[in-house]
Amino acid sequence: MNGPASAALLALALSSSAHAAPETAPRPPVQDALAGVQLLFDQQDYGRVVGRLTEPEMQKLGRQDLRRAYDLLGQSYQRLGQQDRAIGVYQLAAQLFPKDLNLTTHLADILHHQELDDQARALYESALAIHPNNGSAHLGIAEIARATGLLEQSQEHYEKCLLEIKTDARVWRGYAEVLAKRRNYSKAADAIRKALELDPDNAPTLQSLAQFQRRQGKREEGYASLAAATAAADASPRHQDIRPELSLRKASWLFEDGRLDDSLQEAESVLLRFPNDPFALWLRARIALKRGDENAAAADLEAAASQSRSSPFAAAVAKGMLKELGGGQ
Amino acid sequence: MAAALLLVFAGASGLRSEEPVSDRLMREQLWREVSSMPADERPKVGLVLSAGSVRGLAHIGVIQALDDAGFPVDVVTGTSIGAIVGSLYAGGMPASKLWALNKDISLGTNFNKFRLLELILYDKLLSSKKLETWLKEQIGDLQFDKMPKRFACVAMDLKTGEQIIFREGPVAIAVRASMNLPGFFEPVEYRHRYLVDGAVVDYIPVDAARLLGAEWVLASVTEFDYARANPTNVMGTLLQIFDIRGSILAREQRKLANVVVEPAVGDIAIEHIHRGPEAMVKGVVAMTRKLPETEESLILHTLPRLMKHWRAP
Repeated sequence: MNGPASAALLALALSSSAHAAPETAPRPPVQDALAGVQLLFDQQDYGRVVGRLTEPEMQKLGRQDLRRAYDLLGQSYQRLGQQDRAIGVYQLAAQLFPKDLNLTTHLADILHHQELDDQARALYESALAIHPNNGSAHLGIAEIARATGLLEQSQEHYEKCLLEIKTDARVWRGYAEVLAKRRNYSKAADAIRKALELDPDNAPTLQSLAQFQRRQGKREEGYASLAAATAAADASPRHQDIRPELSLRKASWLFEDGRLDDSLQEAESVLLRFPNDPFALWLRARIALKRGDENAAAADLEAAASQSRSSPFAAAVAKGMLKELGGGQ
Repeated sequence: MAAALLLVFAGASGLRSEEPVSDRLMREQLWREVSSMPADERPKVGLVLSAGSVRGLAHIGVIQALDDAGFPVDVVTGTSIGAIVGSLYAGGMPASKLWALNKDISLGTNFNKFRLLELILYDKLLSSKKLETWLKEQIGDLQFDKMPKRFACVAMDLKTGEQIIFREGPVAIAVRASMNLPGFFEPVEYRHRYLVDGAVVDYIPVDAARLLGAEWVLASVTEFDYARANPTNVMGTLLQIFDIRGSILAREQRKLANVVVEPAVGDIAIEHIHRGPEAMVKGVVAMTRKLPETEESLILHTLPRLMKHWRAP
């Protein structure tokens, strides 16, 4: 399939062959028909999966195999980074098999990840009309509702999803985030602990736990979880990118708690690696202000204010403070 | 409701764009500081709710999103549907209960097809008295100075064309006057005035919020996209003229607000009462998307006061 036109032709051909085929016609066993393709897929050889599932090959398949073939083809395109083709395949499949929950929710998932949430949501709703307890559909709606601010609705769908999908840390994390947005930090902390049971040493999850603990007033527990998040980030290459954020967050908390020396030390540890980090500069300026050193504060604020391209809000705050100090424009 | 929800998520993707860590951390920290300031130390926050008939139900969604985020509101003003929603909110009704009232609000305005038929057949202006009664049932027979949040609403004197800002006396009759669409509802006679819908003179009552002492103002605006409408009857044409007049007034008023949030409800016309739930959802979506910018604006506005605390004595 090289484009929308050929995809449409393939759809027509497959549609007619699929519908024309009598349900009772003998078919080769499922494993035999797609065993080779499945093996290629399992070996992550997605290019060859696409190469094997050509129009003539797919026309030979019976209905059950055809569903699976569409799924393998769609997933292969997806993993090859060809999202538009994956969407095309799943759209055709969903038209041919409108009551197939797997295909419908898979299409909805891809649309959701492409941020086409209006279309995704409609599909999730239709999946729930077929199977009111479908966990994937509840999860999709929960995520869309969370992103759009419909928090109560999001929480409801997460809770329904968790009745079906209990062992996915991602679901517990999303649920915790909604609870935190609704300022139910105690329940959010419980949910995030569930995520940690399933995915221990996950630095972002530990950071979330630290934040929820702090919002409950459990400062020491918050610091301990933040330290655990830092250790996890140091140990894991996949979470290296949040390491500076963890240090900045710790510096911010130490500052809020009046531990100025510790806060300064933490902020400066970030500045050693990122000398123009506006938040670290701003924190150091706040500490200097508290200590009455307005010149030092102004110097750091000048540096932070110059970062308006990378951090417009931080720069605007720094400029506003400089103006109050009498040194800004 | 589910059907309405399906329609409103286009473009919601803007929510997920990555923002710099420094900006996010700074907003988080400063928002904690601003939102925990005693109310008399931070700037007085005004929430202004525009006119806009059924579209104005989006204000409920805006309030819901603000409430979820713990955003402080000290002063509320509204015109027409904005006056109804604003009076309920300022009168102490929680956002969750407002959300459930959408159907009642539509009934409360008496604006249904049967009443319109009465208007057309008998050439008799409708009474809006039922709204006054309904409002009293919801929040009691409150006086302006007894409301949990300071509140004002706007009407127009049909005899003088004056803008009348109500901020004292009984609330219900003032709100009724504020949403009293001229040509449909009979004018409200009150305090020697002949009062009709304030949208004709003050579509987005930012000035009323300033009058109540608001130092920083968020305006929720639900204008009609009249460029897309082709009215084919007398009523539709008349309503479109109101909307055009309102939009012209809104241009000046919106400049006076610090932040303007505009739910995407421009295609909902006055007769689309069934689209109320959709408007509410769009209010949530719009305010949620606008929340970071709104918080940042209030933080920057509060900065001079914060600096007084931050500098060494």
